[in-house]
Amino acid sequence: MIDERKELKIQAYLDGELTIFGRYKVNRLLAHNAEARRLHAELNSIQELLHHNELDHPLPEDKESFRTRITHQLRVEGEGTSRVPNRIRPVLKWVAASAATALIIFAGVYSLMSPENSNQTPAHVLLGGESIEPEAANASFITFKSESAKLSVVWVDTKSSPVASPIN
Amino acid sequence: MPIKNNNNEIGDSELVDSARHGDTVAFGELIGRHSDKIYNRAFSIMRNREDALDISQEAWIKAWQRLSQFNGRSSFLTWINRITINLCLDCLRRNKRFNAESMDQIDEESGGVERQLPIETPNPTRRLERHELRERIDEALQQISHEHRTVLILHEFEGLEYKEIAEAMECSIGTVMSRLFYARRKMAVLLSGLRQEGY
Repeated sequence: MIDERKELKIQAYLDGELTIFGRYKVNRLLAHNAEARRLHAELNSIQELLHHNELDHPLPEDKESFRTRITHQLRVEGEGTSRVPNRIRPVLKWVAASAATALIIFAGVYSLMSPENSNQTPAHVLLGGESIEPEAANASFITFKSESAKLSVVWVDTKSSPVASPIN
Repeated sequence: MPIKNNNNEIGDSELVDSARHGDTVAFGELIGRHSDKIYNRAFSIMRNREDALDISQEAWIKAWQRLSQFNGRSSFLTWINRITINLCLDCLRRNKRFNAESMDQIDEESGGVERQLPIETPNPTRRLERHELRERIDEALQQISHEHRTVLILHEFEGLEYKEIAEAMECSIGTVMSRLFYARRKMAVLLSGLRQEGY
């Protein structure tokens, strides 16, 4: 009985997966070993039998309704997103994220370099005193949200003194 | 530019180009052309009608979402076929069918019962009707494990090389060779009846 390693070599020979040297070795084995030749014949016949003999399993439902169902689903999904072509979407996301980051950095740098603005948050400076989300009277932070960039930034203002609100 | 008419005269690559620009009609034409083949591949691996239908539907939706990644180096059919195969393999992994069966296959793959079987050599004196022959082969495929069948399908029907199969199935080339060997030997035994019938 030929060993498992040789069996797999014979198979690889049949599948064209051997190097020239590997093929030479299997050729020698086949020339001198009757069992190797029988195994080669069996594997070869199975390979030929399977080749081009796959049974077709057609779609078990009406092709038109299958097509309609998928295209309808694609349209519904498409309506849920923007009409921007797919290939541009990643670029736009990147631009939005970069713009948001640049905006925050600019606001931070500007507020640090301007002593007269020390009582204002960077967003106040940048947006002319208007925060993106309305601040509560006693709040010492603001929130910046960008849906397109999927980014939220909370700016905590440690410079402003707390404001006591009367409790009724 | 949406495609409205005479889609039969238009090649797949043109339909893909239109679909890339959001033309669902063009994509629908691709579905109409290749849905049978995609379902067939899903069924051949999953051997279950519902799973195959779900996977083939998912494959079309994934293909639409990833059209921008299709580089045209292979045909559209080859590309979506690979998506389908990957979905099938993912599904089999999720269902843990692989793991459950692997326990039974350890013995087989390390030189178990198939190594002791006599070598079968079919006699090509009579040809069965092509459809009957295909049905017999399909029945035999039904009887072997998912792992053995998948390797056999990817190699014999999809024409993938050992390395490509190993990548798809996330295993070593040695495992692919071993599975393929025992799958073929099992098929030889299961189809040995064809020999008695003179095939």
